[in-house]
Amino acid sequence: MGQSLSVRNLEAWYGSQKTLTGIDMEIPSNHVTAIIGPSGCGKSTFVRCLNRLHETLPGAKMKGEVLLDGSNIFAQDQVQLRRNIGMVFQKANPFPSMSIFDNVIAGLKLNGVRNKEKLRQIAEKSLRMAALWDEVSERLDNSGMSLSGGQQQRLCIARALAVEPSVLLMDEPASALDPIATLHIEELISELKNQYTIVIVTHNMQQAARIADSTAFFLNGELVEHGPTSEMFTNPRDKRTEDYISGRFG
Amino acid sequence: MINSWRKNWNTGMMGVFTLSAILSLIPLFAVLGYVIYNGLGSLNWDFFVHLPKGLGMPGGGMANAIVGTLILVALASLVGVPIGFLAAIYLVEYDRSSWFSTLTRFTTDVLTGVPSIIIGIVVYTAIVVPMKHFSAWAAGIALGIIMIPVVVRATEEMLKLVPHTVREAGLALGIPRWRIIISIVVPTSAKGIITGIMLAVARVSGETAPLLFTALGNRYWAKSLNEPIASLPVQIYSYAVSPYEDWHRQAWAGALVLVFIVVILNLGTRYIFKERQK
Repeated sequence: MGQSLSVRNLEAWYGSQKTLTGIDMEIPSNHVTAIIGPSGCGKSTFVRCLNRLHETLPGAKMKGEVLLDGSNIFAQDQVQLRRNIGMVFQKANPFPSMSIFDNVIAGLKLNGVRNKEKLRQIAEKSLRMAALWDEVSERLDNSGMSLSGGQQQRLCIARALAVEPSVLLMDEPASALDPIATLHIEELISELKNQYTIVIVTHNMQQAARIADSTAFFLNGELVEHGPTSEMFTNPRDKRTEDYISGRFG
Repeated sequence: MINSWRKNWNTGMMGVFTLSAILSLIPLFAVLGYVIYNGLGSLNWDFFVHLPKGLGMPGGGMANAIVGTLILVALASLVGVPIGFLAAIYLVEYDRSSWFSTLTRFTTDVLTGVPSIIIGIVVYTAIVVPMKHFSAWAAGIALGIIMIPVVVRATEEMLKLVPHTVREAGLALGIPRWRIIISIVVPTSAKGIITGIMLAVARVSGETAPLLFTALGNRYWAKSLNEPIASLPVQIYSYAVSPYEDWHRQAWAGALVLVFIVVILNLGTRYIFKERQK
């Protein structure tokens, strides 16, 4: 089951440059929440704060509170936390030295799971969930790099699902893909929300409108507006949101 | 008009590039060809299994020097590879920009440029003199020191080629950083790292100057690593400058064997590594 996130007064910096200011946001469980906004508005930084990946960069800092089902993630061990909050990146990044199979189970195997039968089952289950099983079941030993771009991205999704997180963060997962591969991923997201809480960053407002239950609009490191997607796109409360979604800037 | 001028210019420059490429190949093939031509004729079974004969006597071989070179290269790798490899991991994975890593990088670069004879004399003063005898250990350490900067820089460059997104993918899966380095980053760049290490091996297996101060040379089998030990480069050197015709031929044979050792080590490592990857 997915877990909820509540973000309280979150701030983030790269060196001395502040990229997020005072974000307050509730992310309900088993919901798809889309983050939209122009380039450089802090939406990637925001999701990278949620699994504490932000603070692994040199000079990056963050402050505030993020509660995962009520417990503050900054008080948790960050390695443990990331097993619970998975992430899919903008550019598919399979591990180049590993086979398709090893890529999927990397998160388990490199954390000490040795039971071969269990690993095989999880690999199949994750690949099926990522809608990739039928395409790769005959060549699991091939390199992950041998797949097409869209398949690689689904492989990365399977890899993230294999560790059974409760939240899945997706940072523009379809921005490098063609329309058909994008459609695959979008269908997948709609299915996955039964089991996961999904936060997806997207450049593409149509995509947000298609898949998200609620949408948040970021601008210059601030959360301008957050509400049910349909409301946001038909009847935005803030002038800046309206300007952005009607294409007047960004 | 312009077009034909541009075409001629293009053809001319193309010719210059091709010529340069060929010129850069000539020394390599000349050296290899000359060594093979002169060495092959003098190579026989005795050369591999016999000790050197007494002064000026024909026959005998360099068995001790061949084994000695293998031992020295192994000792040097034992010193140089772990230190160089781990230092590179530190520089890329843990500390890319502090004053300490900058200093380390600078020092490694300087060390690359230090003539090997200087490293030989330092090891001589630091190890051979206090121990009061020449030894394989001292030579291994000297060669190991020469290997360190080559291994550091090669490994560092290869590790840097691994995209940051791959490391982040590992982090995002909740894999501890040390695990990411061992199981993801290093395997991704393993091919290049191995090539770098083999280059370092090739470089030290031909080193002669530092061995004169440390291994010295030995006309017999070394009974332990605490004794002076024979090696191909030193043996080649002393045979080549001798006045005896037969020794000159043996020096050529030694040179050929040395080249072979480097080539076989190189191909062998690559082969073993390829098999393991499958």
